[in-house]
Amino acid sequence: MFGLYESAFGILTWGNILMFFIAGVLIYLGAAKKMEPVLLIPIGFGIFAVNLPLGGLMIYSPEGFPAEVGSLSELIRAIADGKIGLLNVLYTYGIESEVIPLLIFLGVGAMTDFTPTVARPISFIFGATAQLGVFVVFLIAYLSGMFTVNEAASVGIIGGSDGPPTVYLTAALAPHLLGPITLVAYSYMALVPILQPPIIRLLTTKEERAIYMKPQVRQVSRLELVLFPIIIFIVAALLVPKSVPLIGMFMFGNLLRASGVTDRLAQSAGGVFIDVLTFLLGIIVGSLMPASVFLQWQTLAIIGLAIVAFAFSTAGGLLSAKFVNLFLKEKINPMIGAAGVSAVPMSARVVQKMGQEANPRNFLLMHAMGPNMAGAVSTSVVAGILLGMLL
Amino acid sequence: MTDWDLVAKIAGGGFGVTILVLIILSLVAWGMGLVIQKTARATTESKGNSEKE
Repeated sequence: MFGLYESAFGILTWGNILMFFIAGVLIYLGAAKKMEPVLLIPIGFGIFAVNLPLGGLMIYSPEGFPAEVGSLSELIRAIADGKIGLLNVLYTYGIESEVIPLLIFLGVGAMTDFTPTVARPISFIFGATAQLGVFVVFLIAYLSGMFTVNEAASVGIIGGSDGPPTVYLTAALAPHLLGPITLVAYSYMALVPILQPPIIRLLTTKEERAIYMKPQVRQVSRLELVLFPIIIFIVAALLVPKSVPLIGMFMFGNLLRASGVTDRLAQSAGGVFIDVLTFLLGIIVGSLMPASVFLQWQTLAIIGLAIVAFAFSTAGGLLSAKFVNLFLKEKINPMIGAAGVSAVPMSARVVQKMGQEANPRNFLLMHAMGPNMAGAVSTSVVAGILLGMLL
Repeated sequence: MTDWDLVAKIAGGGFGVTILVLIILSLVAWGMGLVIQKTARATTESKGNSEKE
């Protein structure tokens, strides 16, 4: 066509066109509805890029896997010959090597304030029980026969509601599912304000939701904030060595912030650095969704199972807070347990909003941020445990 | 074929280990806070006493 160039129209499939539609919806949700825009817009663009035939940004092998990038000397020739594209290189060196999710976690650590978790260490228990969805969904996914053990574990980790550990674990255990799993995980995190309230209402009475907690958590010294990332890193590393890359980066980033003397580094890590990595992650994840890979029953199953994972994780955190209340003189509002699902800071905001609806005197945000942050640590621990069991 | 041993190990054992590890981390964080608070209190008291003297 046009006499000069090869046209791609002839090999455009209905699957590609459907993926254009999905990409358009994601960009619309990000741009117009402000739903996780920093990820959904790059992911949407990546989907466009990979579904344009002959585009050459991301080349797939006939078996449906991203074409492999060889050594550096082969790389230049392979790009020149059109055997691999720019996104193949970014995928191999950024995601397959696990570099990008880990560095993003460093940036997340630099933006995290652990004060509420240090003030109330029981938050870790809520973070742990809010991992229930990970294991329930692993069980359902594996027993359904649609997923292998490694795939089921990768689907389950969506229940942890934390992006970097999800990408890290999936890249190691089921890289071919990285596109749909990452997309579903980040999309559902944005939907936490819609997904969590019905579950919380179902499992609590109005009286429980109205339980008043004093607005302030105890004063935490700078020494505690500096020692916290170091000690938690060392103990977690000794208990679950496979979680070291995740917890290590997270706590290193946090130490930059907590030390109070490396503000420039902390601001860089939590600023432009994480921004660049996030859009790279987004466009690479989008490019992992050609029609042939994405339009499968497994993708639909992942979308359904993710809701189950969120529901069980919310229930796990919430019920454990109710259980703890049996032994406490000064009762805590059980909704703060639901914030253990991570999804920082959305789930804490949900708890704050619902707490004020039930009792206008309540200000639960800081109380909910404790389990919220502990949830991020817990998901990293779970990723390490699963890697230890399956690799 | 379903490998029930593996299922039990991951779904049951995995969740159990997660709870255990996080309980330990919670105790460590609690212990750290306790020691630092006590030390800070003792330091403040001894400073106060020396000022009185």
